[in-house]
Amino acid sequence: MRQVGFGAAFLAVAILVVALAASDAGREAVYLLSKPTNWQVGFAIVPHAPSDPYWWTLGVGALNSIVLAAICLVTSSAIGCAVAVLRLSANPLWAGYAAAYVQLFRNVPLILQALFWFALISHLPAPRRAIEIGGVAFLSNRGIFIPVPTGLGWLMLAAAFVAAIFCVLQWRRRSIALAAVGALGLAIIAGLAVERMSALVSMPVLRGFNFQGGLRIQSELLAIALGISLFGGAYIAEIVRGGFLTVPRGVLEAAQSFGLSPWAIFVKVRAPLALRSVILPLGSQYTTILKLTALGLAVGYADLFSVTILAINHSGQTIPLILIMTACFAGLNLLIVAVMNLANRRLAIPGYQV
Amino acid sequence: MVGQTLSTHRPPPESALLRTVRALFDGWFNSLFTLVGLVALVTASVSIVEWALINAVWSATSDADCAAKGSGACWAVIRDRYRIIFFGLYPYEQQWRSAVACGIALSGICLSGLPAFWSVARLPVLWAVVTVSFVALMRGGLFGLPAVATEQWGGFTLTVYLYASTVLLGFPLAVALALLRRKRRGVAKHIAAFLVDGVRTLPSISILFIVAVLAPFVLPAWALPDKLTRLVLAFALVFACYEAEIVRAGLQTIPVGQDEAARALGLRYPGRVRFVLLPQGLKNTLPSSVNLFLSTFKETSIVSVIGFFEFTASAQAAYGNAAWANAYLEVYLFVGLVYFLCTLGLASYGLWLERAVNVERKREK
Repeated sequence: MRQVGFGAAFLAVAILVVALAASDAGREAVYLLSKPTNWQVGFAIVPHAPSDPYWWTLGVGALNSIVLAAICLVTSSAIGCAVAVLRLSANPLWAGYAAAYVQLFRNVPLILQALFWFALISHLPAPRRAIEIGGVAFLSNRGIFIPVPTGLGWLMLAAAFVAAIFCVLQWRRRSIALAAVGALGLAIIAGLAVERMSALVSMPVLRGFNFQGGLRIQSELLAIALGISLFGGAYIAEIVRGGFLTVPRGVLEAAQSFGLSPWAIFVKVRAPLALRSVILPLGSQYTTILKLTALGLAVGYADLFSVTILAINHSGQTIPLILIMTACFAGLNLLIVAVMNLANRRLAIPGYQV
Repeated sequence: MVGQTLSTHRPPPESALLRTVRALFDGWFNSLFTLVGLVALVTASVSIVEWALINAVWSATSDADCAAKGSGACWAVIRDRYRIIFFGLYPYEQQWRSAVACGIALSGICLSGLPAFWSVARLPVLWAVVTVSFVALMRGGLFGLPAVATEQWGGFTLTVYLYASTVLLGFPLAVALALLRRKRRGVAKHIAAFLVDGVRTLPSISILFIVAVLAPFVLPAWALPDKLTRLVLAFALVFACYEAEIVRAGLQTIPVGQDEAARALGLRYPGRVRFVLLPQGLKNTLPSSVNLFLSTFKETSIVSVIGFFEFTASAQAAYGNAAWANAYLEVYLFVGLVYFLCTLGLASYGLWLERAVNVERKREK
């Protein structure tokens, strides 16, 4: 039902866009999209300049939103799962910490949290007196600088990954010789990596007033990503906890009577069953997180919403730009819902759940 | 192991203390985990108490003065700037009005939380009184009170005003949208569905932005309420669309027989809605509704992004001057604490309400 509603909304917007494109206002809007902007947004992971046309600049904004949402989905899910497991653990001290985390981060507005992190980062020392973490990462008011693999480095990582997978697979198939070959390959890659470290990893180095090399994570992105991840993590923790509580006791007792160790019960029975019951609520939380990325505006992150506002301010073309933004959000929402529904169908255990 | 489980002899029950100790220290891994947690707890609480209480500075004229007086938290900023935080840009001499109005609105919210007030006669009267007195006090221009424009309203009072009027306007709208969407056929059903799903697809900040900031470019001047009213209307719409889905879900859980029985008694649609559907349906929605009421209170903070001076924006203004620029941490912690206490209050009210309504249900049986 909900999907039908989403679909109807999406369709209606599409019809509106087509109708608009056929009218005079529509032609003007299409002309606007191909016109250079003469302004630029503050953050882009693709080439971006003031001479870019509006459609490209809006695309940069959409991509920024997607990047932010992707980061937040992964980190908040990881935080949520870890906190849920802690909260259900038999250790009352850590269960208490987890409960305190959920209460604290869920009951304070996200925007206040994001502003707090942003203020905290902007008051960090300048790059010259940056806080060092183990000599490789640096915290400063220009953002965080971390080492990043170069092109060759990514290639080596991929090779190591393939070798490791190969090694594990062969080990499982009990072909020790082939597993040894894989391990040897892995060792050679590791040796090469240690030998040629500087060619594989770009390290941030202080040059004058700023760092060069490495990867710079902008303060704006960092603040809003931190805010959404911790806020969303608290909500996801509750969802996942609910999922664990729905696993019937009889199933766990059956696993126990097979003589499985507590760890095996958790990995093979409890977590997989809990995962299945949280997919749908998790999906609606993911769409919420996608919508929360619009609050990047509060700390100056160039997400789709803030780029749309900039475009409206510069061009005065309100309605077509709002429609484009709506279509983007509707499309992304639909994508998340579709993926989660698919996962729900694919992972369902026949006969276990209706 | 098996023999133990099967034997009918049960060990004597353990004391609560012994059970806790066992849960904390069984096995070397768990004990290590507990020890790490305890060490973290002790060091963190020692440094927090040192920073927030022992070395804190309670009165100073600026952040530099604070730093000279002590190495801890600079709570002096709250003392110096609490007026801005709670009342925003409201004229300084008149801020008692803002405080009284805020108190009136808060007591209105508290009173309407009591199930005793939930009748068609009491709630509207209560809120008519609260609204009239709130607006009269805040706007002024009567009884010799100087007039204050809505652009100057701000701080915690504005947050409470936004919240109360959003829920007040949004809840009836939500019920209407839910009922419309449940209709079997008709254009209204599709309009309601399109509105609800369309609004829920977009970030709420963008809806607020469209209605509050862009409406003047689209609508003629005579059809435009002032900016704050537009914002309230937009907020109420967003709230209504989320609540409508909750209400609809609640209505769906009512057995069909209930409606059919009411029909058999000769009740018409309005009567069935009022006496059969809503009383049961709304009761079913309590947990989810309380969640939405909570998140709506927190969401009022997003209007700070589009230039309204509510609680969060006032906090930014409180440290946003030369004298207090470095006291941001204290201001955010204080404002966060106020939000935290409000939402915690709402949450515990929700728990109490669920229990109260359940008790009522039991008594009925």
